[in-house]
Amino acid sequence: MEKSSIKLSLWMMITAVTIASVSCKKSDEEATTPSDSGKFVLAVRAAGSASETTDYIVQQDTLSTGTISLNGRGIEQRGFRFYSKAGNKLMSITYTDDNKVPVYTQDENLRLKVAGQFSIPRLHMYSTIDDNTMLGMNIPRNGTAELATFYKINVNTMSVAAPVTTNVFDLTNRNGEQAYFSSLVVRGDKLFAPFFQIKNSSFASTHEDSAYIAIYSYPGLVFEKVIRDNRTGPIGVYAGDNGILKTENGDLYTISTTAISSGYSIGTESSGILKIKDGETEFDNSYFFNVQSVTGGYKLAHAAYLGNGKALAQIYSFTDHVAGDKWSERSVKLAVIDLYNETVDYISGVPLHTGGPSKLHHIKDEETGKLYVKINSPDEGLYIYEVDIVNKTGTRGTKIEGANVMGMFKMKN
Amino acid sequence: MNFKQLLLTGVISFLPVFAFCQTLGSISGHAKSNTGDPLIEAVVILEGTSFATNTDDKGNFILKDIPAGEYTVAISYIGHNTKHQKVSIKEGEHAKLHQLVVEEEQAINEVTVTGKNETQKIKESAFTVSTIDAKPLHNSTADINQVLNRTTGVRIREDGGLGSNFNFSLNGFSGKQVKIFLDGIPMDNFGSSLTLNNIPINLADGIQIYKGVVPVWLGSDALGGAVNVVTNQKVRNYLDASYSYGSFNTHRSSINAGYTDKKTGLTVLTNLFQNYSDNNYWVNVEVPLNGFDGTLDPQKKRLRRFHDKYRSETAQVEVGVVNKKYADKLLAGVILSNNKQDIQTGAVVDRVYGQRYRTSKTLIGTLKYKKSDLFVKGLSLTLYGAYKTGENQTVDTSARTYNWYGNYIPKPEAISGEQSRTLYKFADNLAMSNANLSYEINKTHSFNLNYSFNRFSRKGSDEVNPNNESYKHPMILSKNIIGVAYKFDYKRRWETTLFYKKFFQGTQTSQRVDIYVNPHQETVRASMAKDGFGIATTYFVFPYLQVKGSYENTFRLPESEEIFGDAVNRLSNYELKPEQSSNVNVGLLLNKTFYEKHRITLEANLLYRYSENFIRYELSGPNSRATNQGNVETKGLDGEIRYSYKQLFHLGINGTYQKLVNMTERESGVAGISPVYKQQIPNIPFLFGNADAGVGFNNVGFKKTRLSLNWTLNYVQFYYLYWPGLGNKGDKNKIPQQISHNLSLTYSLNDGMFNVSFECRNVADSELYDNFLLPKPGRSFAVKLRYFISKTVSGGTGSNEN
Repeated sequence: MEKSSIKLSLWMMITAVTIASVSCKKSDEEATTPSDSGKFVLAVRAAGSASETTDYIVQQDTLSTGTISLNGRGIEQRGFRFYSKAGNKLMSITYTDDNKVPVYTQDENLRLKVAGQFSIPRLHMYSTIDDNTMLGMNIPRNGTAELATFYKINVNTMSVAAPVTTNVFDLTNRNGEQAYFSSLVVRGDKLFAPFFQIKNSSFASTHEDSAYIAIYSYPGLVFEKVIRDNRTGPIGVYAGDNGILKTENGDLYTISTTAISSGYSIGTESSGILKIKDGETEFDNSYFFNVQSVTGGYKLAHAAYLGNGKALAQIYSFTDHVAGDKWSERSVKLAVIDLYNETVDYISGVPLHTGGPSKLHHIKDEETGKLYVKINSPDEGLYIYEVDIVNKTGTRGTKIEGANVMGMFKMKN
Repeated sequence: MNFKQLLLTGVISFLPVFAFCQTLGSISGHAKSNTGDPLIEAVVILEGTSFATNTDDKGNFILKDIPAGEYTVAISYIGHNTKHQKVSIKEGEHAKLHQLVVEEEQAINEVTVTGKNETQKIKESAFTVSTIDAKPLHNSTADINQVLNRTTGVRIREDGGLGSNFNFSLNGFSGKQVKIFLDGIPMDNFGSSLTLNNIPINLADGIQIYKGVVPVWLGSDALGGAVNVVTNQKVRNYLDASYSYGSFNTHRSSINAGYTDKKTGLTVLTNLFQNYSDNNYWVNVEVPLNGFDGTLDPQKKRLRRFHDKYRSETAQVEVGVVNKKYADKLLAGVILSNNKQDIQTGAVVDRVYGQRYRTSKTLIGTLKYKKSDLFVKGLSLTLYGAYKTGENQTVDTSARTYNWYGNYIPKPEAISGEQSRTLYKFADNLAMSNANLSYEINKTHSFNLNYSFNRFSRKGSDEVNPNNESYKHPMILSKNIIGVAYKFDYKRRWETTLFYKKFFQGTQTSQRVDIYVNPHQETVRASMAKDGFGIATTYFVFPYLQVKGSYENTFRLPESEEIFGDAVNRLSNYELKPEQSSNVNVGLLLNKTFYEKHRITLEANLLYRYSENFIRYELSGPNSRATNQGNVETKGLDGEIRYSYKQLFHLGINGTYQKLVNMTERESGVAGISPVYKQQIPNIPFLFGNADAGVGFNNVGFKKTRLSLNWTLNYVQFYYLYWPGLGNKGDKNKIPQQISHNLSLTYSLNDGMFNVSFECRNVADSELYDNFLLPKPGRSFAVKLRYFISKTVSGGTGSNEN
């Protein structure tokens, strides 16, 4: 072996390494275009399987016309999320293992900005209490863990107050199933927390014969009692936070869907609405709005309060719910229900659609008085409808190219 | 310089040979070293063709049925230089060469076997296959994963350091779609202690990566290729012992030994290996200002991982006989393996744990049988049977919430877990068998028949969650696969294989049904049958240039959990169909030596796949369910160029480009054409490559020594976590571009008997990620000591292989 070939080899090696090192120092592609603006904020779930897709927060000034495409548009989120607004703060809430919540605010140019991030354990339930406060809950579901935890979050300072717990087995008198909360509503110095019962994470239950609400003091969150009413089944749905409607005068109306399609196991109780008068902590014996009998056999899926005793509702269009329908929330009609007069009026011009997810996604624009409702129809597609509750009609508005809308808000009302 | 000079005398006698027809001839000869000893099991090849053989125990060889032409015979033998000899066979004549004595100056350690060994023979088959000759890597601290990661088309994505979870992907297919074999035995359910990141490269002789068509003899329902790790199969007495120590308190050791008694044929093979690491490398993380919940500090903190220890131990022993009348090989063996893995984080780095861990134990019994020329010449039978039993457990019983500083606060509930309280344990039992019958009628026609049977059952229990019903009742999955192949070989220039595979699967479990009205336990079953078929062909345009093409229609049958769910979080779907794929591969292979010094190999492959009915989990309320959701089109291109100058210098570079496009036109729950139809599938690397270079010198300081310096580079272009086209570009989540350099220096003494290596991985201390927000280790160092000695059983020269 000659010295020259050793030298040559060493030089070749050095050259190769240098070329490779230099040629790889190429920076990532970074084409930042300004994010969009508008008074309406929508979190749109893109199409595709869970591992390929997430939500995109888009902003829009009108929901009456046009198309929202996610191509090159929207603030990309991560994983499976829920959205909640308190005051001028929009929170993108974690559900999966990632426990960071980005908080967005809207600036004077109607653009969303990240105000900060906070860390929180996994939340299964969350509710806006006032413009500054969100109440979150971690609820066990493995059939053995006993304590659910309340987290009180100050959305301005993004601080989390010391957690308070409640025993989910005590609430069911240890009948073999646990309580699983469906909504959180504060009225005065009381927190009303309706629940349904489950055996474990299979969400199967044999206890669906009554409506239950756990009542706690607020803000102390000290457990006071469970109230029960057997005129209908359990209140609310999984992760819904729309089981209780609070009217202007402080009366509470509770929504019991009792539908297998909404995730219940038996579904034989009548779907209907109970009432708790302002100042009271018991069901009003004189009031039961039996929606199932008023509609001729159809059950409620979701409801949202609009004002003056009127609520927007999604009502199933079929009566025979079978095991295969579980969690489907399929084939609902849009309706306006009158809580005071116990009437149901269907909205014309809106196709049969899929309810939820979790709640009835809508925006009530206080400036214009217009009501926008997300309608996801297997035939027509995903649209925002403008709904006139006086004339009981719906008009198709903005088309959305995505799988679903996970949240829709007007940041400043 | 002081050269060790060893003279090899290759005595090759070219005798007049009997030709089968006028245009065919044959060559025979005798190989011996300058010491006069015959060379046993030396590799003899006709360069640029697939004619190859080994010398027998007297040093003799014969090559038959060779078409007329000019050839170069190459004889290679470990520890010796390759001997080249030109030979000419004319049409209609018998080539007759007089006894030829060749003396050549050799430097013993300069040898890299450049002949056609097993590795290269497989590479030149009609299948699109990458092969790795593992022997030159035995001084490195790498495990098999790290070696595979340098191959075109392969990306191994690890969650963290040593022993962390990983995802093996081949041309964009991953998980159960790609099957991994150890000496032809499927490893998919071997447990987490017997995975490719636990197995040191020293255990492997070679690795075959089938990128399209999977040969019939592997008997499996792979959708997009297979990897077969081949351990030392040669009959030799050897001992290979190594120990390495490195950063993060990493200790890895292995002892591989084999002994065969010449007279009785009694053989004992042993492989022992162990891995341990604290994995306490630094990470940059966002932490809440008050330590636990609440506002996050916008400034990232650089902190050490504190709960990421990993250890695994494996022992494999095989005892049997070789070279008997009734068996070429009959071996009974046992594999014992276990590991313990601390779990530092959840799916991303933000969720940190301080006490959760996983364990796995595996016990496997194996039986291997091989016999060539059974009853008639050309008929060979290979059999294996294996039974695996094992237990896997996740332990989460800590009522603490940890943060990245390693501090904790108690959980509100005294009896709970960090993520979810569990002592969930599941036991897997697996029975496997494979019978392969091959019949070579003559040089032109051969047949192959393969039958494989596989029965898998899983049963689980959780003492802290007695209500947890997942796998409480065993799930049983049985698979039968029959494969038939016919190979046509036209004068070793054109080889074509046609094959057909039949897949049968039956699954069974017991479930609580009618849970509301009349809850009771009922046996539920599902079964399916599918037909796969294909063709693979190759043609030598020139002796040094080969083209290949193959097509396959294949299936991946759903697992029992995908069909039945787990009775808790995953719902059943009895309608589930198998994943299906049509794969086309075209390739080119060039292998040429110029002036006996400059050797160039070039490989290029194109692939096209259309895959349907991908199985994915879809949310259904709080649960999920497996569905056939995706259709994917894959177009890929990969290539590799290697150059070497004698044994002094080598340089290689390879690259892979693959584009996986979503062809799912309609998504469930989305009306009309899907907005992401024809978009590129996210979270899959699409452009990546590797480079390596090395120099090696002999007799540095002392005689019989070799010093080598090697450099490798790994490059992955950035890719998006979610659909690339969606969202504002500046607000998108992505896995950043990865560049990592590794350097190693090896010094071998006494012809490779004693070796010491120093390695530096991730030299530039770059922040490396394979998965979103799961950082991998920064710069690390390791030293490895290795002792290796080997002797051929028939009493040939003792020599090293490296």
